[in-house]
Amino acid sequence: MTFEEFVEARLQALLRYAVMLTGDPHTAQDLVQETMIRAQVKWRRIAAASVPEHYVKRMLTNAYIDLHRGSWLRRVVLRAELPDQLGPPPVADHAEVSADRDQMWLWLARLPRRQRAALVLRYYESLSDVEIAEVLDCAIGTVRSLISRALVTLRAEVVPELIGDVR
Amino acid sequence: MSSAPEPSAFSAALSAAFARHEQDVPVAAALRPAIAAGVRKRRTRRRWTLSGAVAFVLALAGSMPLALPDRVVPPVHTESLLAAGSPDVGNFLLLGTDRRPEAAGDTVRADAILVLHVDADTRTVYQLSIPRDLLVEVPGFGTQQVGTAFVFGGYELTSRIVGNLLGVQIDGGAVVDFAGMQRVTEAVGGVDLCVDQQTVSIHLGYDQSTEGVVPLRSGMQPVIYEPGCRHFAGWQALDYVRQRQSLANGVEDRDAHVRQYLAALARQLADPVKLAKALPVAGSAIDLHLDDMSLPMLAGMLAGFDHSRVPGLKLPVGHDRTLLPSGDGLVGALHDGTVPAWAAAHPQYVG
Repeated sequence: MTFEEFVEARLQALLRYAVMLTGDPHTAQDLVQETMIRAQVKWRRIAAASVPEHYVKRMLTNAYIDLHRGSWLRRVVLRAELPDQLGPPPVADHAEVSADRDQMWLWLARLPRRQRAALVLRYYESLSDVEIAEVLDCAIGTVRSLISRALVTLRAEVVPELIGDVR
Repeated sequence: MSSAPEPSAFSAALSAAFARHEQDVPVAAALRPAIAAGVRKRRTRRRWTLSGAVAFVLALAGSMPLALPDRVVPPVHTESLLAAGSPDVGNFLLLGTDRRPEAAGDTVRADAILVLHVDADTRTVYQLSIPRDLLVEVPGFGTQQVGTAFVFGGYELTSRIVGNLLGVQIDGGAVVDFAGMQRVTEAVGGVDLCVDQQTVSIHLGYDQSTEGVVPLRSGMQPVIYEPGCRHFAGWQALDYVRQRQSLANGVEDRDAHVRQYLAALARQLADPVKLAKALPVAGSAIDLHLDDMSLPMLAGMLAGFDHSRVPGLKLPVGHDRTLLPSGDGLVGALHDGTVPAWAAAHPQYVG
């Protein structure tokens, strides 16, 4: 598969994945753009991977996880303003909360990035734990613990009636 | 799927949250021109990395004999690499940090900042010192000393700021700490330096009982470097280039010492045997920002440059610690590739 074929076939899917990761279309676009440029440079290595898309997803995920960690520049350049520890989202009155179907989305933004990535890969991309481990470059046990910790947080925070789950 | 069973309502709500936001996903077609443009730009950068890389190793590793044995380094034809670039200049950023292994976790600043400017026409590499206390605008942090930008964003941010300051593209570079440079210097058996003024160490002193050199404590006789030319061991050279408090013009004189030291290191590495010893050490001591290049590859491209000298340039800085307007002509010269002419017309900045 050539780089051009890959772009043709997978770019839209990668953009979707990036939006789910970052929660922001602009950041997603910048992230995908930068990742694809880097992917082109090392395309031969990527094409040789068993699943090239997983390789690129891993690059994208790492770029997302590193967004805020080391590089202040990246945060500014990529315009993402989602510091790791924000505290709870602004408290809204009950009617507003109920109206806000995006409460889940807000809490997703407050999860540690690897946890969010693991959730996206499972509940949006429907990957298996083995595949998630490949993308996140970690052990399968780590995948499971990332997901279970993320779910514990979300369950504790997301208003139950919104999702009709009374635990 | 090996997903552990989850309450289905909750996972469904999670999936639904993702699905709702599919409407936010940009159209891929809009991104393709930007990717294509980025790839073209990156290719240009890589080409520059190849030719400009010469600069980095030349200043770091210095003069490389034409007769570098082909069996040591893969033969690479500099001529053709240079011909591939359109403007015959390249700019590399060399950052010496004050990171000390014994103070892990401390804030690390860029203590010595140099732009290595390659002029392919005259086959010369210029060392341009950027004073670490030069005041620059750091987006989000206001006016800061350029050396402090390293704290906020490391090599990437510093190269962005220095590139903007000088109006040049930084084609690559390296970060090294004093300990790393000391190891490289030791690997080549030290360097020959000429001390221009008495320099008193604030870091090293003589232990009264053993008369050995130890970290300086109060009441101790400090190590003093008296004027004159002599051979410096690695630890002496690096201690010498760190000192600025006892110098007449502080940072400015210290930066001159750094340039003299790099030129001296370059002369040492003219010896292929010493170069061969230095390369593996350099590889572990230096954090390179050169994409996929390796040090031996860089070294292979050195042939053809003027090895006899690595001229030093001072940045034209005003009393307010900012760059003079247009850098007194330097910014235009860097852009046009006319630094040799600029240097000839501005001897006050050369040395």
